[in-house]
Amino acid sequence: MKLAKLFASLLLQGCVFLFSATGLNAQDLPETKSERVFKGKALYGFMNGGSDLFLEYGFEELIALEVKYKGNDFTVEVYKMPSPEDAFGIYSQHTFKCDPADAGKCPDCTSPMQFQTAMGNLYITVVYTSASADAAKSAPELAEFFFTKYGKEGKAVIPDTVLSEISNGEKITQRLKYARGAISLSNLNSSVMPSVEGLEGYSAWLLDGGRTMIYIDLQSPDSLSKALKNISDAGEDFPFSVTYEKDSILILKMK
Amino acid sequence: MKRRDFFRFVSLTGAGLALNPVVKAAETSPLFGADDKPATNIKDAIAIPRVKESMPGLYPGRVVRVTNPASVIDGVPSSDAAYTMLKESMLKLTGEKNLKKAWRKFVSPKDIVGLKVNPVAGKTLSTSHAVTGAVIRQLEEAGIPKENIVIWDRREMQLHEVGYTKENYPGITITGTECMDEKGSFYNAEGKLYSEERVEKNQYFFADVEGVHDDYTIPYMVNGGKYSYFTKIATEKVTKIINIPILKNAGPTTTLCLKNLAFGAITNTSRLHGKLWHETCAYVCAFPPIRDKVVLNIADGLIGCFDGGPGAKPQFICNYNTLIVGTDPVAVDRVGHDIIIKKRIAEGVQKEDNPKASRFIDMAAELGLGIGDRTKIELYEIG
Repeated sequence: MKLAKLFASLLLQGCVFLFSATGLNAQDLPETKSERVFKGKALYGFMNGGSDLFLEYGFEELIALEVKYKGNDFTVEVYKMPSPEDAFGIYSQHTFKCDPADAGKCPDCTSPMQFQTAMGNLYITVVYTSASADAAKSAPELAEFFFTKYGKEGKAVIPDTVLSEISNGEKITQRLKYARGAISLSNLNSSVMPSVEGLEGYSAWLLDGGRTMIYIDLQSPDSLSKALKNISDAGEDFPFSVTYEKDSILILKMK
Repeated sequence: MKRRDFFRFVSLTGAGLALNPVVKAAETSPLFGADDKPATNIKDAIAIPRVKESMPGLYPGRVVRVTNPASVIDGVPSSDAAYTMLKESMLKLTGEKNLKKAWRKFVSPKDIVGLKVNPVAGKTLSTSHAVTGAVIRQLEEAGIPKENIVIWDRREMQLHEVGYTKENYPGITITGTECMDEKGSFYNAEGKLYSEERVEKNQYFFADVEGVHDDYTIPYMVNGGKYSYFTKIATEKVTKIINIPILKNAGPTTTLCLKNLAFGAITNTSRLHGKLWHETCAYVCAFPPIRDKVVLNIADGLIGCFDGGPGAKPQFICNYNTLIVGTDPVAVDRVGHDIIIKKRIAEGVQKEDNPKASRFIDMAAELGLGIGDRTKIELYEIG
């Protein structure tokens, strides 16, 4: 378990940068062609209905940039979140069919024409229009550059119960997701929703999309009681077996 | 009756309301009036008499889908392919052999024709210039002067960002409800939002949900409170609307014709995304500025997405290589919804269709805006 903890700390705390953004040559610095900033609910001005998911995680600010870097054009979106957990959480919502490469670095993944990462309190996505290998190679450099410019180092606190299920060498992007309310949790696993019906303020870690474990922090004994009653009301249809920890932690495992 | 007077008309015809069969049907439907749903003024909309152009237009339930695998070349929609696909759609939809005659069934040279595009997801997932360009070319060939064509959306800035500019579309008006000046300010010298001048406060969608916006947000919402005002682009500027949405998802549901119109035509929308998303998609389209002016829907599915919407997430963007065309926005939405859900299932995003995800289609059908029942849709597939 210590190894697992160390591993996760490396992933979610101080990411090991391959490139020194601050050490870029002047001619290599990204040229910002446009920059827009959206704070709080002004995110609706950028993505309308898609904002609800980000706002549920406590979204604070988006810096949306069009930049030119090493001859290629990029669209960079830097999302400032209230905590490293929330940055990882919103990142984890966007990793479907995204090839993870986060062994030893920050959680990050690459899909055609896009690089995504969670660094400290930032979720960063870099989209490139050219399919060249150069553009793909430059995308993580840009993410690191903008993390240095806008981000704060921070450590996501993962519960020991969850960490103990992750082995050394496993890619956290593949295994772990984090939800912060009804929209994010239902996106990740809708079958768990009857248990949190009528509840607010909870968060959840999901291992393997919830197939291995869902660890829900309900925040209060009262909410735990309500969740247990919800599960009892759902009866045999509820697909998880249930245990709980402390006063407000619900642990669900697939039957 | 002037459209802008319709609320006055409603208040004067309260007695007639009870006799309106559509109102009765709506009131008894389980889709409406659920206990936990905030109240709205949908009854006001239903009470306004329909006109012959009202949704679902000339061809209720008829949808043409044209597919061309070569419609996107190296990631860029082909203008030539879009033109041909649109032509085939229009001829099939109308049964005409002459393209000009097909278009003139919907618009005349006297009309101010608004093209409601969707630029919200940025350059990678907006209504394509290939399709918009094809519509403009065919309108001009049908005798509609360029100066009578308006490309519009709620956000003028986003139109410009994705290339809907006067440089790219010379002679055509490009406008949005929410706008800023050349210095990038949303406010005029008197400190008033420019966009306030662009909304019609006598025409509104009321919902008993308070919109509370901070200083950062208000330029994108125009106003707070419980009213969402219609844009003057729809109420005054244009006489006909051609709706050109994109084939994309929004979470577990889909957004095509109805969503593009509803959320694109009113202010103060963020409050409507929660409990009233489906209702808003359907209800707003039942108000005269939309219901009576939209003559054609052309869902641009050359490039679309199956997940990550309504924003643009590159891993979920795909080439559907298709156009879906009809006068009936509900039927087009049903066809498009099924295409996206089929793709989501094939890609492993979900296992089956959840009927709740298309509640807005059922609601719109119940409001008489079109046909949502798959068995009653007359679908023609070309290619």
